[in-house]
Formats: sequence, C-alpha cells, structure tokens
Amino acid sequence: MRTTCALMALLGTSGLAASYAGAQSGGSTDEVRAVVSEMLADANGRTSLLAANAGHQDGNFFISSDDGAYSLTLYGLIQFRYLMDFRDEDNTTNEFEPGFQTARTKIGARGHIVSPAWSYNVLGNFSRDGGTFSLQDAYVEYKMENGLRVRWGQFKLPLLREELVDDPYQLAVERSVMNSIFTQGRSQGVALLCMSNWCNTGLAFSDGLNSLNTDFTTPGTLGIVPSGEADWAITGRIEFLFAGSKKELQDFTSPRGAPLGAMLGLAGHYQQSPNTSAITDTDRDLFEYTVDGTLEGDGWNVFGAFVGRWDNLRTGGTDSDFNDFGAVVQGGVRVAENTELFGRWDAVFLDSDRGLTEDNFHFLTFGVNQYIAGHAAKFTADAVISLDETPDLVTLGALPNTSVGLLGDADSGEVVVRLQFQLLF
Amino acid sequence: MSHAKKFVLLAGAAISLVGVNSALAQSNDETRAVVAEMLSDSQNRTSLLADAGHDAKGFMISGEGFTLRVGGQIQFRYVANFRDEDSTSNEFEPGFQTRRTKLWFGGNIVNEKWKYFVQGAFDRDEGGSFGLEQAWVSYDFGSGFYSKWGQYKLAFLREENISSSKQLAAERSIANEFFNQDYSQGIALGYKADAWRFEASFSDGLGSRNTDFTSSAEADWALTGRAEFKIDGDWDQFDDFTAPRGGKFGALIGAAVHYQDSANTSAPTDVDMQYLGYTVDVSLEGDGWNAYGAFMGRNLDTRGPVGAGDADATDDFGFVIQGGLRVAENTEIFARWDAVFLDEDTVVSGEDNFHFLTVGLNQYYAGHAAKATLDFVYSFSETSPNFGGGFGGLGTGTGVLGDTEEGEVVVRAQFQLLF
Repeated sequence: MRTTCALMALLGTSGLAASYAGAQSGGSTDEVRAVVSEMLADANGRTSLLAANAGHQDGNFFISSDDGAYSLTLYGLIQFRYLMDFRDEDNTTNEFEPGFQTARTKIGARGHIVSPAWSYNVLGNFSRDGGTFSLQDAYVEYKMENGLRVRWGQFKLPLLREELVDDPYQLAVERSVMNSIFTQGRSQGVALLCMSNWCNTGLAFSDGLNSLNTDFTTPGTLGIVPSGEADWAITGRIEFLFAGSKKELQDFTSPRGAPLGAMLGLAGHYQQSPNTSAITDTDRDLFEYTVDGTLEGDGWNVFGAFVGRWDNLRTGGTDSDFNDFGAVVQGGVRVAENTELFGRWDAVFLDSDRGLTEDNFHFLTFGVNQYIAGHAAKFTADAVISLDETPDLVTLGALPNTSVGLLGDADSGEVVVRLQFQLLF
Repeated sequence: MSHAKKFVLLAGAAISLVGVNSALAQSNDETRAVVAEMLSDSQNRTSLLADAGHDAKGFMISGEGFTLRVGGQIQFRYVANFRDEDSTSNEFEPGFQTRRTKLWFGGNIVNEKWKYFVQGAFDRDEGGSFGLEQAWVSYDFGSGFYSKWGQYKLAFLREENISSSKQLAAERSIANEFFNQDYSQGIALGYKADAWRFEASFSDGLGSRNTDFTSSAEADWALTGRAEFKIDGDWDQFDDFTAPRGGKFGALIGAAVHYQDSANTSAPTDVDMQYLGYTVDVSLEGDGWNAYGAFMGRNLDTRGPVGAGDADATDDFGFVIQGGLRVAENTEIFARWDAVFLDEDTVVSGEDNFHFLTVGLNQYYAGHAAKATLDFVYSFSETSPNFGGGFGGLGTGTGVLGDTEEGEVVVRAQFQLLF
C-alpha cells in the first residue's frame, strides 16, 4: 500500500509537470491527462502483480492466494539462555554448573486451505541437547459456522493454564517446577473448542498426558510425570472471562494503560492405561484437576493456580492410591513502560504414602523482564531458589530439569540464575 | 513489499519523471513515444521482481527463472486394533497416531529445466524426529528425456510410487509394504512421450534412504527399470487411484524389474544376497470408478556364511486388487484384497499364504487436500509368527500388528490435510 502511494505521488508529480510542460508547448490538457491516466493504470496493474500476496503482518511472514482462500504463515522462536546452577558444596555432584543453552528454537507453519474455516498448524523444535528437530504441534482445525471449532492432531490438552500460555508469553524465563510435574504436555487427540465473549470451553478425547510423538502401541510410563499412551483419556476445561478479552489474557503480562482483565478457569482430566490380563502388568488410572485465576490491569498482573492429582496403580493384587497437589502464585508489575519486576512461589505436595523423606517442595522465583519489542524481542533475568532438599524429586524423575535449570540438591538452597533473550519471527 | 522492490519501482518512476518533463516540452506525439518507452522499461523492471502467492500447485515465491514452492502434509489417524484374546499381546490396542507430518520445498532454478525437491517427515514415534525422505535434482534435456539424481523413490511398484497423500485407502496394502522399494539413493534417466514412458535407475538398492556409502543396509549396486503404456487418458489422472464423477476413461499398463547385489566380502561370516524383483500392474478408471491390480514377486538368492552351504533361492509373490466407486460427488466406497505368498522353503512350519481384505469410505472435502477416510482391514490368516516380525509387512504403519489366530481386525479413521 505504501508503495502504491509512493507511485501515485510520483506519477501525480509527473502529471503536474506534464500539464505544465504541455501548456507551455501548446499541447492539449486532455491529451496530457489521457497519458497520465494510461501511466496510472499501468502502474496500478504492476503493483497488483507484486507481493501483495506475501509480506509481514501481525508479527509474522506470510504468503496467501489472491482471494485469501489459502494462506501460509511461517513463524519461529529463539530462546537463548545462560544458566548458573549453585548447589551445596557437600554434594557429590558439581556445586557450580554454568553454561549456555539453546532452550527453544522452533520453526512452524500455519495457515488455512480452501477457506479460513480449514486451518492447520505444524510446529517443530530443535532439541536443546543433540539439536534434533522434532514435532511438537501438528493439527488441523475446522471452524463451524456457529463458532465451534473441532481440532484433531497433536496439541496441548485444555488442562493447566500455565502450560496453555505459550512459551514466549510466560512471565519468568521458564514455567514453574510445579507445572513441570503436573503438566499435560502435548497429546494426540481430538478436541471441541468454543470461544465466546465471556466463556471458553474445551473438551478433548486423547491418548493421555504427555503422549506426543507416540505410536498407538506405545506403552504408558508409571513415573510422577506420566508419558506414553493411555488407552483413552478425557479432558475438559472451562474459562469464565469476567473482564477483558481472551487476546489480552493469552500471556501473563499486562502493559501500562491496559484495561482490567479477570478470568477463572476450571479443568479436569481422566485417563486409563492399557489393561491386559498379564499378571506383571501395572494398570494406572489417573484423575487430575485444577482451578486457576488470572487478574491483570494497568501495568500489573497476578496469577494463581491449584492442581491436584489422584493416581491409582494396580499390579499383582496390590492397589496403591496417591493424592498429590501443587500450587503456584505469581505476579508482576511494570516499573517502567517496558520494564517489569516479577515474583513467583510454587510448591509441590506429594502424598505421604509415597514413602519419601521430603513430601513438600517449595520454590521461589524473582526477576525482571525488559520488553524491547513486546514479546518479539524480550530480555529476562531471574533466579530460582529451592527452599527444600530435592533428592526425592530426583528419585521420582522430576529433577534434574535442565529446562527449569534445577538439577536437584541434597540440601535446601539450590539456586539457579537464568538470563534469557527471546526473539520471535 | 521489500525495500529492494520499492527502490526499483521508485527509481523507475523517477527516471520516467525526468523523461516526461523534457519530452512534454516537445510535442504530444513525442510524449507518447517517451511514455511508451517508459512503459517498456517499467515492464523490464517488473519482470525482475518476485511474485508470491498460491496457485494450482500450492504456495510459491518466484523470480525470473527461479521458483520456490513450499508445502506440507498432515495425516492424523485413530487406530483400533482387535486381536484374539488368547494372544500374549494386548487384544485391544487403540490410539491416535500422527501417521505422516511432512514438509517439502521444491521448484526450479535458472530456468524450468533445473528442478529440485527436498522433503522431510516427522517420525510418528521415536520422539517425532524430522528425517529426510527426498532430496533430488533433475534436469530436463528436452524431447521428453530427463535425468534425476539424489534420494527418491525408484520407479518400481506403482502403489508405492503413488504419493501417500493420494492413496485409495488410509494406507497402502500389506503386500506393498512387503515388496516395496521405499526411498533409495541413485541416479535415474527417464523418457516421457504421449503414449508411454520409462525410467531406469542405478542406485544403492531398495530401502537405502539416509544411508552412507559404507552402510551394510546398502547394496553394492542396483538396477531398476519401469515402463508404462498409456492406452487411454492423460498422464495426470494416473497420479492417484481415484476418479471423480465425470472423469474420462483411462487405462495404464506398467511393468518393472529390479536387481541388486549386496556387498560381497571375503569374511567367513558374510552373507551375500542377490535380489530380483518384478511387477506388472494395470490401472483403469472412468466416470466415478476406478480399479487397480498388481502382481509382484521376488527371487532371493543368499550365500553364506561359510559352512552354511548354498541355500536354495526363495521365491515370494504378492497380489493386490482394489477398486473404488463414487456413490456421491465427493463420497467414495472402496475395497481391496491383497495377499502375500511366501516360499515354502522360507517358512519352516505353519502358514505361508496371507490374505487381507480392506473396505472403506473416502469423503473428499477439497479433493486430496482435505480428505477423511474410514476403513477396516481384516486378516484371513494367522500372521504371527511367520509374517510380521521376521518378514516385515506388518506394523503400526498399516495398523496390522500380527496375531497367532486369524481374524485380526484394524479400524482406521484418518483425516488428511495438504497445504
């Protein structure tokens, strides 16, 4: 459009000059006007052939068809970090572990075919260790005329809000430790989604928590963070928007001058593992539930969530029930237009029947965000402190977690400092 | 619009402006002449710029002589496998599967003669890693002759040569999975005329994708040749198996042969193998109906290790017959029978003939670009242990896992989107 304006201005100038010159030489003004019209028509035709169907819009690069029926948007994320982990010097492990990390390097393609009703999204990520490029999202969505959307493929189940807020839109460098234990991750399934001005709902039938990139025969695991395939799983989430819009609440931050936003979310998930008659087989039923609240306003934001999980394991006549809980509370405030201070407390309360030395684990995080171009170019520095001894989390497989940066410590007081620059394209 | 394009346009207009000012001082005729010259100049400048958008082949960006096309495929499936309850394995195995998620880049450079194609796929298992499927360059010599080199599918089994996005059922036949060529590394010479075409390849052998030249999975050398004779119809209509209502009659006969020789070392433990594969196939299609049949076979001659003697060569055969019918404009029912006949010398005891029946339904929302498929596969034979783990052909790709009893059933519900 800007190019068209520039052409019009130049050609307009040409027209004026032509008129003046024509008058001087005694030529007809009508003929000059005809010449100018011809030039403008030609320029207009050429402009429409140019990259009107490709460019950069809403923060992403795109290609589309003339009629808008087909579109392809290419997008990516680079999150690069420097981490320093400090542990007690009495540990047998390294008490100081520093280093750079390509935490997330993602490339994706999304768009629609035939009409905007048929949309797709494919997203891959280069592993921070080994650099393998692997699939994260791969789904198709159909939007019905009544606004209902059906999504099928590999995606995040509608469960924990902290997980559903996308990686680049988090408040701290990384999600909480609590989230990493109770997370739904990505799953393969089908979901029905509904979005209105005051309410969002999602209902999914899937292969269960953290079942990304699994074949239909992949067995489930029995760890504190379940993965593999369940025989079946059902997930439901409902969100009530009391103020603000879904777009404003798609991240945790809130710029200065932003209106009030308030949302309450409730979700539940049930899954059942494959159940064979083999005596050595362990069957697992799992029910997870959460309630969360989000508030944000003029340069401030608050988020809190409570998560619970009932975990039932049965093998060889033994029947074990565990009830584990987690909580997170975080908040941020803009101390300048693009500078934000934030703090977070999160905790995991594991069932005492698990026979652990330590059942409760508390973590504090505080830091600063510098928004250079919103989330598209953002620098974050934060520190996480573990208030408890965490060898039991190591035993359970929840730590070390190089994404969070905590590696596990026999003493309380493990600290990880994280510096991150993020770029979205 | 890029800064470069703006610059070129503005420069062109500015040059024109100077020209117009001086020319109009002369006469209107001269003005017109200058304007015509200016438009001609503008035409040249425009042709240097890039175009982008979406055409019949998908998303593209092009400049003069250069084209880059980008596309992808999402095949997402729900599979439910039912086996005999006496099986040691799980008698009911359901679940979703990201069967195929692919991204590709292709186009031409310099001119239309030089073409390239790169395609990768995310694995449905094993962490969803992205692996190379195709990477080739081709050159068009003119008069129908072309050459292609890189990693590609050898021209051998027609069912395998038809894209996974354009199959009739949710998945290719089990016979195809048993005999198929998959991707190979090699060089091909081809010719295409109105009524017939052929392609011959020198390669590293069947299923040699992503192998280094020292890999034991590679043959020392392999030759493949396939010829197709078009009795009626257009070449394009044989890119898939289906035929829409109103489609014209088409008939195609194909025949192919493949020979490969394994690496041959003097190590006493070494097993040498010569592989001869062959196939003939017929494709017919018309006004809303289609039929396809193929016979395929292979002769395996192995020698070694030292002391094991020279075993008899084995001959295995396969058949597939399938057909589809449009019962509505975009709704198609189809059925397929396929079978594998293993050499009786290959199977020590038990079953050596394996028969499978597939029936299903396609719903085309936007041709192959948005297509839902529901089908059922029924195994008439005991497939475990003689078929499957030891011989291939079964697995999570087809959904048939192998059963010690006959009657294994697989239900596959799939949606495919191409972009």
